[in-house]
Amino acid sequence: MNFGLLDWAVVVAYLAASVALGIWAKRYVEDLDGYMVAGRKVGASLGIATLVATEIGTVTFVYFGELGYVAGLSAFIIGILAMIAYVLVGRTGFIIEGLRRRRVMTIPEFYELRYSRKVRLLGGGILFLGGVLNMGIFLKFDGIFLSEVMGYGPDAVAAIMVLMVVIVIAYTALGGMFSIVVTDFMQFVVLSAGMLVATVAILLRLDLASIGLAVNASLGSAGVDPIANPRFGWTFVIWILLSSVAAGALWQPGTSKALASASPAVAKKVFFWTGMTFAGRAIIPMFWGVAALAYFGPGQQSAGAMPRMLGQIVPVGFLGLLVAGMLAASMSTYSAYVLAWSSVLARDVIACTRQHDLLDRTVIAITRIGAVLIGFFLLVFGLWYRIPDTAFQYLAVTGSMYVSGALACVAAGMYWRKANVVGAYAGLGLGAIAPAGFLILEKFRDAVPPALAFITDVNVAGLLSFFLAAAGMVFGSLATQRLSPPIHLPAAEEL
Amino acid sequence: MTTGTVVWLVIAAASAVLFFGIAAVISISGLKDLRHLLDGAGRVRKRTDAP
Repeated sequence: MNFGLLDWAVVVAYLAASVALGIWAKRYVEDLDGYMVAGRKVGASLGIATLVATEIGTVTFVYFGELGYVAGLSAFIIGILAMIAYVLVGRTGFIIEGLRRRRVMTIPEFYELRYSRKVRLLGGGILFLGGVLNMGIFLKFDGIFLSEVMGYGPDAVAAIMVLMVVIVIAYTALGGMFSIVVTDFMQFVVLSAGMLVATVAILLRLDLASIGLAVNASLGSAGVDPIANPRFGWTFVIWILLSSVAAGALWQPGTSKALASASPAVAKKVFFWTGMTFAGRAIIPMFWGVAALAYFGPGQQSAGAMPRMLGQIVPVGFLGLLVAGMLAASMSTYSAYVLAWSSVLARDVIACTRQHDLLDRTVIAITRIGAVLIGFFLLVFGLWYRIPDTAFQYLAVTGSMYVSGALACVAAGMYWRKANVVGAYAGLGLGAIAPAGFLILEKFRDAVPPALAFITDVNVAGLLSFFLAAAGMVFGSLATQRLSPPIHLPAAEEL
Repeated sequence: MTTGTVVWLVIAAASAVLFFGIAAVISISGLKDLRHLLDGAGRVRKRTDAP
């Protein structure tokens, strides 16, 4: 057991503050705009803090740490690609500016503006399914991290995880985006402090030369060159770059922060400066994983090595701050993700099956129920699902199920006049096929015919989803221009 | 250590400095935005509460 009384005091104080703040913020929710997008009044600095906090969860540290442990320094390429993608989106306003100008609250809402209500229903269904599957493993990996760092067994950690999920669901369901923005800010400060503590502790214990030599000795050129590394290669690099641009602009939990911004210009600024943190967001925990390789040597359980190292080297007192930082990271991610997926369920799936528009208070009620149900799913799915590859690749492929089709539909919808309903259906459907095929077929890898074996390569399945989605949109639209004339978007607001 | 190793470690150091530097600035300036957001929302509540 690594945890002392002082550490517990820090963690309990942090959790109590989160509950109090999250529930207190509920008083500011007056209507649907307030619940979903905090009234669209979030300033740039607050927007950056909340977006960074959303995009860093404990699972982020675990999967990046795992990658650092198994792939060495070559994994750092992911951080560089993510930074390039987000900075590009922020600089150009690619997609996010158009969405913010049109005052949409969810991505599928754009599908209805540009294509049809049925496309919104299909897109909303795929987004909800991909999103919830994507977050299905978060709790499991948070549990691994906390168990190793705190030195407690899985039962005690499960109790902490359940408590954390209950707190997050409570304030998210009650206060929506207002609660999330307020708590995210506190969580951003705490998680940054926790990251600093871990990094300093490692640097005080291990020097950079020994870390570098350990990578060279254990992994050779694969530990330094991402193209030479058999886990990566060019297919992976291209897939991750495309994926990062698409996810940057279209991943609902992150994009919702742009939609909550005070103006389109603020939305761009938020993305640009968040993008500037994205190299560090990936490389810092990967560096911890590489340090774990130097500390233990190879052969440890890959997801647990880095947290086990932290549990052994971070001093008492500071360990509490690190764990509070990790809980902060998780809570900010869960709250944003749960609100994103439950609002998609309410507005883009259930509401779209109705003849008449639902009242705002009904939408809020359905969103709250959806949040609770997603909480249950997290607890159950995390216990039994076995991840096929590294956690990072599972997350990237479930994310691709949605973002590839969304990129085709939204980018074409915004920037290509010929995009039509048929192209949208084809893009959404084909974009989901390769990742879904991977998730199913990899469970029966030995029985897969050789001609289909390429689908069980996670990098190929991920990259293929983007090409299939684009092909579906382009050929589907061009082949049916007369049958299904494109609908043109109304001019966006000038703000 | 190979050249590639040194290059990646330098990149790691630069990205960490950038991350923590932005975090420090945002932690201070974000408080102003938070106050502005809550003040604005509070004023709307007072107007809607008025008879």
